[in-house]
Amino acid sequence: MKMVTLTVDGQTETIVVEDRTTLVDGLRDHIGCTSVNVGCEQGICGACTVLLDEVPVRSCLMLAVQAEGRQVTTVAGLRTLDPERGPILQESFREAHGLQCGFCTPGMLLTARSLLCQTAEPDDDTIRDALHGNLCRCTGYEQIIESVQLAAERLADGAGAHRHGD
Amino acid sequence: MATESVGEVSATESYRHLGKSRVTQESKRFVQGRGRYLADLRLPGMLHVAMVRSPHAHARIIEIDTTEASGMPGVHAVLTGKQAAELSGPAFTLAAFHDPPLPVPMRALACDRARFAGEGVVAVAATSRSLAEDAAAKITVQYELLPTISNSTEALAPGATLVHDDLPNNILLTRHYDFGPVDEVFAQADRIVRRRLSWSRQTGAALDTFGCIAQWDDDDGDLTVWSNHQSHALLWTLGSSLGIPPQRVRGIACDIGGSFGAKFWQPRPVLVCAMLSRLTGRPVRFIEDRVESLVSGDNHGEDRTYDAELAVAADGTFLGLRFDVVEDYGSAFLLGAINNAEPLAQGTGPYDIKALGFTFTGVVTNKTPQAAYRGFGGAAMNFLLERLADAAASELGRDRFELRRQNLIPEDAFPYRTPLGNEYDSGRYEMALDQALELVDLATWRRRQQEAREQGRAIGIGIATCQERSVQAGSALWVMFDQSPHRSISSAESVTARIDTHGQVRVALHSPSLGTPLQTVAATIMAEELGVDPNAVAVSILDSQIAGPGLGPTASRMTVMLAGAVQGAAEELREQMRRVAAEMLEASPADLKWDAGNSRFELRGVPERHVTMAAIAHRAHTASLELPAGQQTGLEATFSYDHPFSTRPEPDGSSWGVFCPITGHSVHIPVVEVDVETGEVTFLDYAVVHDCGTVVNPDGVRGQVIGGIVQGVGSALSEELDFGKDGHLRQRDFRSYFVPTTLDVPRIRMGHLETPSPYTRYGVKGIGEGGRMAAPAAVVSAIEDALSPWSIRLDSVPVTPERILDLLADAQTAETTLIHTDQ
Repeated sequence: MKMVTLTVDGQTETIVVEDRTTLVDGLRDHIGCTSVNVGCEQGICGACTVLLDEVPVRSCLMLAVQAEGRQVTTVAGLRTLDPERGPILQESFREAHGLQCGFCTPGMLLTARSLLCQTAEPDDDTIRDALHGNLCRCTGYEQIIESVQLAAERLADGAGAHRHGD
Repeated sequence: MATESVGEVSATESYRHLGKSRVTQESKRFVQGRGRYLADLRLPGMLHVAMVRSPHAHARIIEIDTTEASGMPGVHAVLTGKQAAELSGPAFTLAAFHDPPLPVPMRALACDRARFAGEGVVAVAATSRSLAEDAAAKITVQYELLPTISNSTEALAPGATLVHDDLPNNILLTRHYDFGPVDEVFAQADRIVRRRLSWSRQTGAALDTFGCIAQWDDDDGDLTVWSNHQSHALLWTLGSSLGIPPQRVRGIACDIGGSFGAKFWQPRPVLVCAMLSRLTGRPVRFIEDRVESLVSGDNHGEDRTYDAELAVAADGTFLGLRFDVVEDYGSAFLLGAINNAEPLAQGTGPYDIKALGFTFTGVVTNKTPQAAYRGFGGAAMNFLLERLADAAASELGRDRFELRRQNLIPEDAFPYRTPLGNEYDSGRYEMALDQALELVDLATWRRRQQEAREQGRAIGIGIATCQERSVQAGSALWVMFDQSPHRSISSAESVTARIDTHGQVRVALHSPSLGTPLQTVAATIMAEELGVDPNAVAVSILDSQIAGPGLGPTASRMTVMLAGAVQGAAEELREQMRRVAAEMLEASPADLKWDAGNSRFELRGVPERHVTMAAIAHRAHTASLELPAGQQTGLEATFSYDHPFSTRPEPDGSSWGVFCPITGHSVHIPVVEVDVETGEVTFLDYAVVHDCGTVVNPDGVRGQVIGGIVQGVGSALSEELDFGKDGHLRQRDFRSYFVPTTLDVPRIRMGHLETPSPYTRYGVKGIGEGGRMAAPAAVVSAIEDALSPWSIRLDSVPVTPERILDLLADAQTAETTLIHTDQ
């Protein structure tokens, strides 16, 4: 068993895990962080995407011990990590209906945030390319693309006076 | 029935809330990562299950050694099939709707025999899944191999090994039906168009796999089950398997990360967890991992071959349809013949075909059991219809679009009775076709296609005009069984609504919600009925123990059923309020008029004399001495809405009755390019016009249609569950079961028609399955059109790049052979 100390959504946590415990299992089972989901455990579906020091990673393909001393951000910590893009992305997904069951949404939002950090006004093809590692079985993707586009537009407008949730 | 209360909420064209774009209630928690999926639930002392599964498709289980496993750290119980058989009877399946029940028992764990590769044989409960897997790896099972029945042909071969000893010839059911003058029509037809078609197994593959937690309480005798079932129905049958009164089982719903049919009926995992909980005294959880979900999940879709014939007149009129269908159900019969019965609700498609005959044979094999995948077999049925329509056009030298137009049921023919007895309630099919042709701009694409051909590129334009049947009656579950003891027809849905002391409204659904915004739909309809803000309507879900009749979201029924149930409950609440309001206004109840816009009752003709809903509610909850005689404190109503229009099948099988009349319709026109070097198919355009009657939630409908189309694209191009001769599934995870990504799908342009149903509240129709039921036929039509210079026929799915290249190679060989022969 190994002791691992990491920061998750701004909170320092110390957990005791086996070597073989994946990061996603460490987050979910040991820390009780359920804002990241497991879809395949093989790194294909992207549901387990988290930000590791702001870089999107498949937490099902990482071991918890590899996260020692690192900063992990799930969608629950997105607003705190990125007070500008985070809320706008989340509200845009709601308004443009970029989700149905919500299971892929945490991973989608984090990958989308990374995209918008790199490309402020991505076109349709760029968005599709960036998100092609995040599977969704419900939406058929179109409204997800539109949500990211809406977020990009809002950010470009410097929308400071947006509504926070309902 | 679609009755209106005169002077109350009138179902006119302009609604306050219906049809308006809105942000869903559900999305708030999902974008924050606060969804509560089954895997997120934790109970103190909870144990986790890992399974030992048969590596063989067909084998006797000789001996199991669990000694080492039982002693390993963290292991609380190990359960073999034999032990399970002492604690539980077989799972309840729809095979029991047949009289006598068909002898295909489905056990929670394989007892003396494993009948598919991946069937659970032993279950281990330990303090973590990893420890349970460690222990499972130490369990040794001795098998004696039996011959594998790997497909229907092998199943039906004379002398074939039996998958179930008491099921002769591996045949579950054979039936023959003739509706209308079938023989006559075929004898007199100018032309018979024939095709042999096959449809590969596929599955919903939702990202959220099936999971459950069972807690057996010896003291109270209750069994509590948390699961991501999309219906409470399975929970109501658990008692009969476990030998406890059914009402002692309490099924609790959670957020569901998609289902597409897979989470409708999952008895095995629930029974395993229930038994392990009983043995250990702890809550026990099982969650499928991705491989288990694909291989062992009891969730595969239709798997069939069709020998089909369309009788056509020289002028292109479709006269009759007849086909032979053989369905490979796998090793169990979970949902009976519903994947064949239900699509026959639209068995003649949108075409005015007067004769329909078919022979159905259902067989068992050593494959994973079939259950339901979005459409209950409708995708394959539409594939059959549309391939025949394309074939007829080709053989008659007619335009595919115009030949369909000629045969579409005209607008004045509704309600339309199909040959087998079901009805289509309403439709404007020619209008939908015209809209779709305009949307896609057929003339321009035809020009581009011609230009492309001159450059050696293969562009194809596809067409499918398909029904989207929705809302089935109970008879769909057993109509193909000649004998069924109960002949249960009910398929209701219930809702409870309450107005609290402050006038705030709460709606409780009696069924789970599977990922479409049903909470928002219920809130929207209640808001329409009572004039409140939809965002202020709180919606919850009752557990199975206190829920009333309901089937949950399945077969595209839920919006229709919720519309009826919510409206029914709202009407009762209004009547309760009317009586209180009458006392408050010192008037007679008949003199009051409900003003939905202001959520109040007013005196007819004297609007300044009124009482608000909030005031009425306060009175109803607190002033018992001032309530009218016979009225109890509070404002609450439970309404069970029955199927809006159904009739019983004839016992002699001459008519299936009306069992699924709420019929939407869609026209799909995809444009594809096929790369003849690589076999890759890319989309250049995708136009769809769909009609699901009155729309409650337009963004939700759009999401359902597009999502369904994309699953249909997967069905057409890349998704396949292939067992091979050894009965081992080749596609065991997402590395080999290819579901579409953002890069694989078309941009979909949608046109929209609303032809209301005459039978439902607000005229709504179902929409959930439609896209997936029509898209495969349309996409295959497009590919065939692209490859028409090579005269290639496409008769199966998926049309993978390898398949296209093989067909092109065969076509070129044939061409070469022809040239040599000519010489």
